[in-house]
Amino acid sequence: MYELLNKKISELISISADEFNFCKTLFVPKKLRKRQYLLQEGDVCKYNTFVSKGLLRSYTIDNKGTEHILQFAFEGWWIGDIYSFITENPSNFNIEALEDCELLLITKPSMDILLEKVPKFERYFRILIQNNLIATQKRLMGTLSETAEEKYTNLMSNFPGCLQRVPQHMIASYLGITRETLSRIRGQMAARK
Amino acid sequence: MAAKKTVAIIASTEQKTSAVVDKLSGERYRLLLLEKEPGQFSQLSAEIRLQHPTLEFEVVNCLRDGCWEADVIILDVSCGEQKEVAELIKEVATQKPVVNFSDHENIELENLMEYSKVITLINTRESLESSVCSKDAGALMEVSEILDHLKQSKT
Repeated sequence: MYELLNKKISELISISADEFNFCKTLFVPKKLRKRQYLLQEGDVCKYNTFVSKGLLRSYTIDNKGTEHILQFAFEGWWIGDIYSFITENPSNFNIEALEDCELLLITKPSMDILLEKVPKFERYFRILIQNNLIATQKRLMGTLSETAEEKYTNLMSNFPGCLQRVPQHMIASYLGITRETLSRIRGQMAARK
Repeated sequence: MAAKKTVAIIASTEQKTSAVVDKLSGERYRLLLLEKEPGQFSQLSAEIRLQHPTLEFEVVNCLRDGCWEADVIILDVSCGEQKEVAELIKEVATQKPVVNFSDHENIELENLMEYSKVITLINTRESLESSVCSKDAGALMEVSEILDHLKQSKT
């Protein structure tokens, strides 16, 4: 249940078995079935969530009822709405399981305890936030300046397993293009091979 | 729109399980009835389906898996059974509210499940009023609505 979390933490910081055992006591283990929600728009995001197994997506719905996918979260990733988590204001996002999931949830009070008792975790979470900022900046730049084909190619090279696990209409939504455009791009790329 | 809370119910008898289900049968919860033996609640689940056709509930025949899925755990078993149940579920119940029915303050369960948020719902024969005790004020807030429903069921 905690193996992947331990592995991911150990990739960034060095912690003892005792420190990790303490860390474990602060997480809420949670199984979520496919299509169940971890967060729904209007709720306060009370947890920062580590994905031990499965796949989730966060998305928002615009005034016309169109879904816009912000993020997919695969094994070893974290997902949540940091704005809502920190400010305790209602979230604009939905987080839904795309597969059966095994998750580890941590509340803000528990995270504060962890940071106070094991200050090494300050470094761990700082690196996570840095990485997230870089990914967000890249995604923003991609949205502003890349062609649809470049966006698709980048997604496939960054997340090779994505196509097998995520329905095409969701990939299109994540890239900000229509299903038809995605289908055309895939067709053109296949023809070139 | 709030995400539905998943509530796992571990009770020693069909009657106790049924009483909890009746009180939590609104739209806000998804209920998991945890069986200790396969088929234990087959008759009860048929009755629940008739009485509460819109209720989202499921019978799960593994205490550990059911509690792993749950946001809140309700425990209504005898003191003798508590240790065995706690051993099975404590790993997947860390930081989760565990609402325990009892006729007295129950420190033993808090010790058995030291990383869970144990809330004891005490009901004395002398009084029809139930009272609640827990070391964790946050947990009481978290499940206050559930506790209000359950207190009614103890009278």
